[in-house]
Amino acid sequence: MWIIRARVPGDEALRRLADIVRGDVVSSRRVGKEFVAVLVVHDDAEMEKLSASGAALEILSDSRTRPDPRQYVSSENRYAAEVERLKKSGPGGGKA
Amino acid sequence: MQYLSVAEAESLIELLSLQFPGFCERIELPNPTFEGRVSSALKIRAGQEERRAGVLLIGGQHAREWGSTDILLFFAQALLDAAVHSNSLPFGGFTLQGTEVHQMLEKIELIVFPVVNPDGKHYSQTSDAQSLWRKNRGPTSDPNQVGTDLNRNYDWLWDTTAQLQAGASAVAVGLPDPSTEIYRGTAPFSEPETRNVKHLLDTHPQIRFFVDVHCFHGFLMHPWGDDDTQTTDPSMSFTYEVYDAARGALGDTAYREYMSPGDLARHQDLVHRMGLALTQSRGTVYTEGPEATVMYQMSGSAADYAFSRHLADRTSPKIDAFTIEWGLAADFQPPPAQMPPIQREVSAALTALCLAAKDMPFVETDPDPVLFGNVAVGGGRSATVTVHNVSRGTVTLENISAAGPGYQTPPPHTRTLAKDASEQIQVMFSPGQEGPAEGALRFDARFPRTGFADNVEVRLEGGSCTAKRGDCLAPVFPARSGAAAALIVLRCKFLLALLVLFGGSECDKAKLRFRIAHCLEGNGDPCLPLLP
Repeated sequence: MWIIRARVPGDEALRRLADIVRGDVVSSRRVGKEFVAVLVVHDDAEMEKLSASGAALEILSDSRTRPDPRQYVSSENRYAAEVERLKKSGPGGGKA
Repeated sequence: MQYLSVAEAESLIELLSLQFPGFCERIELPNPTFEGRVSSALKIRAGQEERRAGVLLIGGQHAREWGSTDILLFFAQALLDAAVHSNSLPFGGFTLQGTEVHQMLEKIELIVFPVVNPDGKHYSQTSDAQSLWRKNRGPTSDPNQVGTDLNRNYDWLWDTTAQLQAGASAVAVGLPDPSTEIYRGTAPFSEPETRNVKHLLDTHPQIRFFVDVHCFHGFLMHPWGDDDTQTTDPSMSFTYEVYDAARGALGDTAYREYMSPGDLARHQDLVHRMGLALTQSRGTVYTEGPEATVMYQMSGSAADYAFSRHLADRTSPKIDAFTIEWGLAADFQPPPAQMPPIQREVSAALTALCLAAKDMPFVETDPDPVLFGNVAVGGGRSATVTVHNVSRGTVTLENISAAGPGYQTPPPHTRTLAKDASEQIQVMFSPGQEGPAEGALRFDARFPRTGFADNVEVRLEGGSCTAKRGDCLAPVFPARSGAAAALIVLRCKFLLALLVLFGGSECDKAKLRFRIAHCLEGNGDPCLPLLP
């Protein structure tokens, strides 16, 4: 998956890009007569279609060159034990 | 640091409610998700003061935006720690002493709903190559497709096919195709997750401010999302079907969404206050402005829905609504080491909003609407509006003015109202032409010491008809509901029985029958004929 910035000459071209990525548009704004959009590209097929569209593309993020973000997620529940302890100690067992 | 898992976030909510029982309460939300998860929110407040502005913060509507949950729980935890243990807020260059935080929590009610879409978040955090999953995990109208974009599922211009003849540049409005990432669902609030947000709004009428936290881009935004915003033509509004064919093209004048000048100024002011606090934290600058022009055009979105509620239903309280898109990097899940400064700067912005909420004045007005009925062209009728200050201190009423054809209010245009005091404001209606005339009495209510103002608007309704002698016109009256409506209907039926018994005029009888039939919806048309 990629996050890309695309620059297109008008709103019809922008619409075509949005259709390719199934509406996964992060932002789009008009700059003069052009539109600059940030898009989420889900697979190779979408990327090929975007490349073939003639739009100027700039890759902002490529999931293949970064760690699997699942490793960023806590694998254990860091609060469960304290919740259980406070529940057992009854009302008012907390800090306040 | 690591991102919170869904189960861990729910545990943290519970932990805070256990650790700070006098300040913090866990709210269990009534609609389980499609995968059976029960969501919860945190209600945070201090002291006993009943009347206070509510602030609702939601996050995690889009599954892949993991950090929104962490930001909101970091913020809640920091406020509680500061208020209870007298620590200063750890928000970088933006700081507040613990006593100040406590005072703030004595004057607001903060509700934090940090994991709106737990099914989607769990899927995004645990499935192979699905970390950028955006929607929820519910069934759709297509058995082969899963998930609705929750931020296109709210009841505000949801039906884009009918209500938004969007220009080609409107590439992010909700779509009826379930294979898209912006699938709007089968109906407004078809999804349990959005119904949970609505539940919080419905059951906490004190909510006055709403923030929906997303990523990324570094945006601080306010409504509207469908089109450009304008402040001059109230009829150009999402409530009017006549504009369905014109709504949704940026940069044209065929349609631009109306926001009253006071509402727009206040939203801009609050966005700017948030932006200043955010920058104070570590120097980051976010882009400020309305959603449609800063980010993209949207429909069925949470913030627009929250602000639109009082316009769609005048009995619903007004809610100022905002969307934050945190983070400047093109990354929905920045490495966790990058999150603490983002948490601090967004928390600084949210604190700035809470500080403004703390200083929100409260006034009550009666009647609303003011009904002038049928007044002949060239004639005049006056009415008084009573303004009662129910705030905790003196309030000034500024820029008192009447807008609309034939309406005016005499000086003084500034008044001072002590705590618990009332003032009467006179409004004159002198129609210059025939037809219904809608207007508004407007003023700013302000705490003199804070400079923060709320704009108040009271509807004015009247009109002028050329009624020949003997014409029978319907009475003008406000909508009523519940016990009040039942009492009025009972009274009208009693009077009608008397008129039938003692031979009253047909017009008087028709007026009573009309009042009985239309008690619930009211009548604002002074020219509606009842009998030929």
